[in-house]
Amino acid sequence: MLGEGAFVKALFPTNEHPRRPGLLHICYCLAVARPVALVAYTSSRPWPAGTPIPLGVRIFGKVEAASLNQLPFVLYLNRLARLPMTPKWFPDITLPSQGVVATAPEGLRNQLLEAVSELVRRQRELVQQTGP
Amino acid sequence: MPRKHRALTLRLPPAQFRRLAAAAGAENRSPTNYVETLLLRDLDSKDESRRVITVFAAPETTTLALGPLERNEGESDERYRERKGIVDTLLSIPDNA
Repeated sequence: MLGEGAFVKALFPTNEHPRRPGLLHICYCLAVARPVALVAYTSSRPWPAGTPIPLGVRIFGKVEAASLNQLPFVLYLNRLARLPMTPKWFPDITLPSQGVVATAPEGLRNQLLEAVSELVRRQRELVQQTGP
Repeated sequence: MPRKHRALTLRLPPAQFRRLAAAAGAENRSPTNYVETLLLRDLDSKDESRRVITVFAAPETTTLALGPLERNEGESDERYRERKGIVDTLLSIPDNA
């Protein structure tokens, strides 16, 4: 069921076409407020060696990814999309699985929520410093 | 009616212009296009450095009335409240992609 903690297939928009459905990615669902889901981007492209990992980026290695039935991937909690829960954005939403391929266990959900909370705190500070 | 582009005059010493023309030529660009590209790239990177969270919003979502945040099975009141505060903030961030 699509809700917080679900890893779901979605057509995450691209930088080139930010208002259109983009490429199929497994996304992490942070929240559902029907008819909209808030999802975070993931990529199977490995994180470049020697590059510092910014706040909100979480690398899932072989073992952790396998526990979610995935190949290694990188989760970008700093790259979000607000998407309507329709087949245009979630191609498998009408299937019984709703396109959900795995669900994060409670401990992981809490860790990711904490990371997002830190990002939001930083975002607020930045808005205060630079103005909206 | 489409907005007209604004023109900008740039004066450079001849030696610097020759360097600019050579660098532009190496990328198959005109000097003007080269300068424009560098400028836009710099402005983009400034925007990026000011941004902690990038939010893409599907155009349809701007007119949709959102229901309440869905609660997880067994989620405590405290966690739900905390998560709702975070999600409300995230949902209020305008599309900045």
